[in-house]
Amino acid sequence: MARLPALALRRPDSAFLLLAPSLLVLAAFFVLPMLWLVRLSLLDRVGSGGFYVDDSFTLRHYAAILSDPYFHNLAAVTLNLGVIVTLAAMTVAYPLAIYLYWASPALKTGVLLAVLLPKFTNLLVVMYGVLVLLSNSGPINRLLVWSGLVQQPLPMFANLFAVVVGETLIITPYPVLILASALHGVDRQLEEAARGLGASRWRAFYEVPFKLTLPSALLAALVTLIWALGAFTAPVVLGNPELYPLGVEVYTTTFEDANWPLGAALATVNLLAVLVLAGAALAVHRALEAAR
Amino acid sequence: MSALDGLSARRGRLTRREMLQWAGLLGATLSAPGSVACQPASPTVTGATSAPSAPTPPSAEAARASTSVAESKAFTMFVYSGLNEKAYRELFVPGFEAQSGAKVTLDPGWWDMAPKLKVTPADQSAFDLVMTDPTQGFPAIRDGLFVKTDLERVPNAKRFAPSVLDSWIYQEGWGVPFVSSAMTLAWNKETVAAGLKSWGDLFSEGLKGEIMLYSAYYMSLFTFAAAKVSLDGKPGTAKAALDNDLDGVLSFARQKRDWVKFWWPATADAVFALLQRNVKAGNIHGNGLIQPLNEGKPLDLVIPKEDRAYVQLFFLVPRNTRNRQLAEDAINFIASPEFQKNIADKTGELSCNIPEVSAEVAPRNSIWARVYPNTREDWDSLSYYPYDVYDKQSSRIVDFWNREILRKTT
Repeated sequence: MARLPALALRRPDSAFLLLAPSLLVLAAFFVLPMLWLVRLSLLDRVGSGGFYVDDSFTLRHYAAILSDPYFHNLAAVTLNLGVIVTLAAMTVAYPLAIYLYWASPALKTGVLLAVLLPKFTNLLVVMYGVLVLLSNSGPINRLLVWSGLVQQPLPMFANLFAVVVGETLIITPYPVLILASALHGVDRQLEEAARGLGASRWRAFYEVPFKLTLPSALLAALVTLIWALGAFTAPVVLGNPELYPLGVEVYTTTFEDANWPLGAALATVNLLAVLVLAGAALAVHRALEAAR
Repeated sequence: MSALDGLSARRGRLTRREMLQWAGLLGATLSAPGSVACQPASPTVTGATSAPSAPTPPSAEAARASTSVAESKAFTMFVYSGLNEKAYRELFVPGFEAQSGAKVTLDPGWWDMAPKLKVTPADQSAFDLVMTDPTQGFPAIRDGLFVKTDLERVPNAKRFAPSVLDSWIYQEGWGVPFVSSAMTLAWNKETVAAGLKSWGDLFSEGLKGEIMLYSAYYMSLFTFAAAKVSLDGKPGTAKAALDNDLDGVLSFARQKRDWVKFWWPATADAVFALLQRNVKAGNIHGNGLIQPLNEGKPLDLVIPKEDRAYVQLFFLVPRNTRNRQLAEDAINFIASPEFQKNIADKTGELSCNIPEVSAEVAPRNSIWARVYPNTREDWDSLSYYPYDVYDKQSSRIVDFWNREILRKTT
C-alpha cells in the first residue's frame, strides 16, 4: 500500500494554539494558586498570632510532617482508606464494565445512565441519603431487626464501613467509564475468533478483551485511588475524626485551627504524593503497553 | 509502528495516546483533592485574647471614609451562611436600604472571610461589614484586617445587656458582640426516657459509646470541663477548672473519650444523629433544636444553669472599607430594638440581645425562651465560652485535642 505523504498527516504548526486556552486556565487557576500555596507553607505562625507571619521563612511545617508520628498516622489512615475504596470501587466497576461490554446498545445506554445518576445529584444529598440508609433507624437496620436476623441495629454509621460505602458510591462511575470505554475499543471479532478456535466465553474474554484492556484497568485503578486519596465529603458526613484522611485534615488545620501555613504544607505534600503516585503508575502503564 | 508514531518518535514529541494519558492523569490529579463540597456549619476557636494594637487608619483613609457615604452607596456585608443569611436578607437588607439609600449585598460564607479580605486590593475591600466569631475574628484583628469602630456612632449597642458587651471586642472598641447559641445538653426522649439534668449525666456508664459531641474543642472541651466539675461536686466552676487545672480537664477528656460515638461536624448532623437514634444524647448548639422541637420531634434539651456558655459573634469593620460610616450605621441599625425584636420574633431561631425586648419575645415563643437568655437571671449569669482562657494555651489544646481526643493516636 502506498504511503500517504508525511506532510499531509502532520499537525499544522499553529496547532499548539489549540492548547492555549487550557494552558492559560491551568496556569491562572492552578499553577499560580499552587505557587501561592507553597509560599504560604513556608511562612511561620506564632501560636496565638494571626494567620501567618508576613515575610518570614521556615521549613518547620514540612519537618513536622516528615518527623511527627501524628502525620505518619494520618498518612496511613489516608492510604488505608484510599486502597480499601479503590478495591471496593474496582470490584464493583469491573464486572459492571464487562456487563456493559456484552450488553445490547439500548441496555448499555440505560445502565450507563444509572451509573452516572449519582453524578447528576448534589453530592451532599447523595451522602445524606446514604446516611439515612445506614442509620440505626434506617430501612436496612429496620429490616434486619424486623426479620429477626439481628436483635440490635448493626453499627453502620460513623465508622469505616459507612465511609467506604459513601466514597465508593462517589467514585465508582469513573472507573466504570474508563473500563467501559477501553472494552468498547476492543475489536469484537478477535473475541469471536477465539471462540471459533474453541475457547469458552470466559476464556475468550480473558485472552482478548481482559488482556488488551489491562493497561486501562490500571489507569482506572489509579484514577480511583487518586480520587480516594482526596476523599472529603464521605468521611465528614459518614465518618469520625479517626477516619479523616489528609484532605479533611488540610481543611480542619487551615480553617478550624486557623493554622494556614501548616494546612498549606499538608496540601502541598498531598499534591506531591499524588503526583509521584501518578508518575509511578504511568511508568507501569507504559511498561504494560510496551510489553503488549 | 505507524508513520505518525514514527514521526513523533523522531521528533521527540509525545504520541497522541501519551498526551491523552498525561492529560487524563493530570486532570484527575488536579480535580481529586479539590472534591471538597462540605462545609461544617459552625466554626471553632483558636482563640485570641491579648489586646492587639489597633492599626490606626491613615488620615487619607479617614478622609476617604468621611466622604465615602456620599461617593459610594454600594454596601457589602459578610454574614454566616444558612439561618443568619436568610434572616439578614429578609430583615436587614430591605430595612437598611430604606434607611440609608445604599444598595446592600450580602456575601454569605464561613471561613472565607479572612482570605477574601487578605487578597483584595487595599482600596477595594471585599466587605464593608463583617459578621464573625473569635475563631476567625481574633486572628484577623491581629493580622490588621479590621479597624476600630467609632462606638459613639453606634449608640444602640448600649442597649445590649452588659454581659453581652463583656468582651474585649467591645471594650477596646473593635466592634459590637452579640450572643449566639448556648452549649446545650440534648437527648432523644425515646432512648433516654428519664432525661438528663447535668453535664455529668452525659458520662454515666449507661451512655458509654452512645453520645455525640461537637468536634470543635471550643465547645466540647468546655463540655468535658463542665462534666468534670459536675462529677467532682463543684458545678459552676468549669471556667476556673480550664484556667487553673487544664491538665486535669484534658486528662478527664482523655478518660471519657470512648463515651463518644459520633463527633458531629455541623449542627444539622447532630440533630440528624439524635433523630435517627444513632446516638442517645450529646451537646449541641441550642438553636439547632428549635425547629425540630417546634415540629414535635422526640427530642429534649436542657441548658444547665451551672456552667452555661454561649457562642460569641461580633460585627467588625474591615480596614479598607470605603463605607466606614455606613458600616457603623449598619451596626447601629442591627442593634436597634426594632431589629432585635424582628430578628428574634420573625425567625424564631436567632437571639435578641436587649433584655427588655427579649422579655417581650419570650412569652410568644416558649421554645425560643428555653434556648436564649430572656430573664434577669439569664442576663446576669450570661457568659461566653472561655475564648480568652483557650487563647493562652491554644497550641497545646489544639495539639492535644486532635491527637488524643479526636484521632486517639495514643
